Amino acid sequence: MSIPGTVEITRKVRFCAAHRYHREDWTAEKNREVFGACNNPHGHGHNYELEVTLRGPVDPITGMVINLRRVDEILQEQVVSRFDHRNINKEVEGFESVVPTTENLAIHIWKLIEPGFNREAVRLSRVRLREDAFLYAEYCGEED
Amino acid sequence: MNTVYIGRLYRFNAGHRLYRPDRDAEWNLKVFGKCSYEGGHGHNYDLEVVIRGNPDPVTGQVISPELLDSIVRDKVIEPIDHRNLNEILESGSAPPPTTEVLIADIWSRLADSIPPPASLQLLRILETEKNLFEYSGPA
Repeated sequence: MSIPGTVEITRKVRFCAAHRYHREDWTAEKNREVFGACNNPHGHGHNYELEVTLRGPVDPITGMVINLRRVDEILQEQVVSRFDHRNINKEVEGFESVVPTTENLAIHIWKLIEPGFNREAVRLSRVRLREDAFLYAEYCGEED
Repeated sequence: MNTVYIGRLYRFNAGHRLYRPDRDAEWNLKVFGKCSYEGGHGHNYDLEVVIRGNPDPVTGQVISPELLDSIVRDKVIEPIDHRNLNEILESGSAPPPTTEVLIADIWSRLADSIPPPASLQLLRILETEKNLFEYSGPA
């Protein structure tokens, strides 16, 4: 039996991290004006929820698009181990001079995990990063 | 015409075990992990049914929620709720009843029962709060 078409599967993981929105090439006033409370000097943190969506055909032997164990391994290795309980500005490679907005984090995470997921017929379809219950950013890769 | 999508949420509970009898226990444990344990286990499945259509000029509805409820109850909830998915979905060399397999089966139960001009657009199944599956039918 084979299942026609493709199925999307979304896995959710959580991590906690600190960040601060600040540009060294701007004055203190401009940073305050643009970034507001997110510019407070000592940073702050969030409980992030990351939803990763993969699309692909269903394997006729396993009945799966992708083994969730493999999904968890990639997310643990590429995302959770880098970000969880870290200060993103100070401790995560790539954010030395990039403002760690939810948008930039979603794009960065896409680039970290895409090589691990795009194997055979499976494709990374969407990354949705929730900063809190009221804000999320979605990235679906570069448009063709 | 104005196309509108209406989503309705349903819940059911079912048991399953992910295990291929034509492979050995080691293979099953490696591929399916805890889901291969002998006694099986179950989930509370959240099923979201998305119907596409144009609001009827008289009723203003894409589909009557009562009608949709009765279709989903007859075609999906009654045959699946509080049952063992292995018994319902497994036959021959078919894969074990993962949520990928379940969502395609539910699509085939529902797709032809939605009265035109409304149509089945998308199914979503939340297996646990961490796992979501979506299916839009055969490509």
